Amino acid sequence: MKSSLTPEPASPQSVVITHEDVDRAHDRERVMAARARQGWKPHLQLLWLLIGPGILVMLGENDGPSMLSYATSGSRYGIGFFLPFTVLTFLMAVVVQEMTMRLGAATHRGHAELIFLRFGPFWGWFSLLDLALGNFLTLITEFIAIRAGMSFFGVPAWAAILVALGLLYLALITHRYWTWERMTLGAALCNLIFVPVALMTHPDWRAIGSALLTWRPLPGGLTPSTLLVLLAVIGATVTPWMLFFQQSATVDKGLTRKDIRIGRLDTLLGAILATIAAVATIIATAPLFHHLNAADLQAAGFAQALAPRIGHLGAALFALGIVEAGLVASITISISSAYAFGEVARSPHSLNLPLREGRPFYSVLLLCAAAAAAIVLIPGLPLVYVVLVVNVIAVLAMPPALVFLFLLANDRELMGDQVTPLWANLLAAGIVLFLVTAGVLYGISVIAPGLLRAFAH
Amino acid sequence: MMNPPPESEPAKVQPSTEQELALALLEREQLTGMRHAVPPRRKLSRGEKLLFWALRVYVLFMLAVVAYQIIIGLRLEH
Repeated sequence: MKSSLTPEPASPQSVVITHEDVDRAHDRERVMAARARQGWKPHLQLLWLLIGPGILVMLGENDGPSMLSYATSGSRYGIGFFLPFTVLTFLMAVVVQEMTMRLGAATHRGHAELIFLRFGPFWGWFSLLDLALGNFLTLITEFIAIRAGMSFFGVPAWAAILVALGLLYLALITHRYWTWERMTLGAALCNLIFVPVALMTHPDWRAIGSALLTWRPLPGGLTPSTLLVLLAVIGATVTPWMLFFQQSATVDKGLTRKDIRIGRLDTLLGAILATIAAVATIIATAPLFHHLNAADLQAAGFAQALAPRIGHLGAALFALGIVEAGLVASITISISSAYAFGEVARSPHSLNLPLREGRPFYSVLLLCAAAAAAIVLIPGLPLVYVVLVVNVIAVLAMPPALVFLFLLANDRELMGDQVTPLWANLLAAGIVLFLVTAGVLYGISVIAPGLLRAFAH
Repeated sequence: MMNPPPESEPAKVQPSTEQELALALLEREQLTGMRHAVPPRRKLSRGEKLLFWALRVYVLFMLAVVAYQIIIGLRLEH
């Protein structure tokens, strides 16, 4: 069943084929060749060709602030509650992200563009500004994480920021989506550096198994400060930029309806890898339970606090992991802003664009990153507080973003036979309800903390 | 804002063999030149309109809460 986006048939005379189209066609040529062949090798090749946006979005969301949130929850509350809770949040992320991938593959339009076209300029601009603000604040925290992680190695802040900006630029200069994606995927897989760090702490596997199966209550009950950490962990897995990024990247990669099955696999694989890294971070910092004070709650502080327990190498790996997390996220987040800007402004927006054709796209991308990086160099910034607040803002902005996604994925005019099935709609509705409840609880905890305390006891 | 033409330099037209490749391998909706085909604006039902207003109220309320939290946090910092 075709969607309403299907225009009249194109002929060579009526359509201008751009550089972007040709690059995408070359990528599709390899996909079609692999699909045409039989056997497990072509199947693996097809998987290799089509994975990318799902893994990138999930590992990208395991960013600097998220890893610090996981570390904070591990060191403050141990593993009893947050280990199973983190696994649950990633399951929620899979349900949501699958919808964005399906929307992108079925409509070949980005998320911002579809909101603008289907719900009008008010909601289009609202979503864009919401995304731009959230992304900009998050970018600041990514550079904070990079700076804090590099400080463990004695690298001055200005040098850390310059190196990060240089690497971000380096990932773009090929002007080719495929090359950018493979380079960023390689960097994103380094997120698993937290696994050896966790192993170095000699974790109690029985306690981990028990935590995952029994789901212990929060130590100390539900207080405003634990609620803030709880919201930060939710914000660490499901955020608006993820919706915009995966849909736009799916379009830029050129996925079609035929690729949706592997797109799902890509999203699931990304979630599994990201869960492993998140759980490893909680396990790695759990030995600091009751042994950490507020001054240690930043990347270098965690690494230094871990050093007596796991040695200098382990601590260095932890700090390096924070740097990697911040770097990959700064790349994906700034690209999601540039995609959304291009979609709404109707200017070319693709990583396949040569520099002279995609000047507005690359300018938005690099300017966002450079401005956020410059802010981080301001002395006296309250680092950990900014990190937690950004995650909380992301949680608060999520329900509207989810509602738009929910409506678009159920839009039969756009999606044709790819509309969301009933069971997935029920799950998505449950997730929206969960996030709104979390937001409202947070509001109550700020306005009337006594009320929440009474409820907790 | 949705209608102005691209602000950047015009896209370079590709040689005919490359054009044929793109036309043969890409779905029509994937071609950048076909992006002018836009779906009509969706007509919202009464329930959807109500939902959107509820979202506006939710976002405003929560932004106020976050702003309050930030101000309190910054005061405590000092």
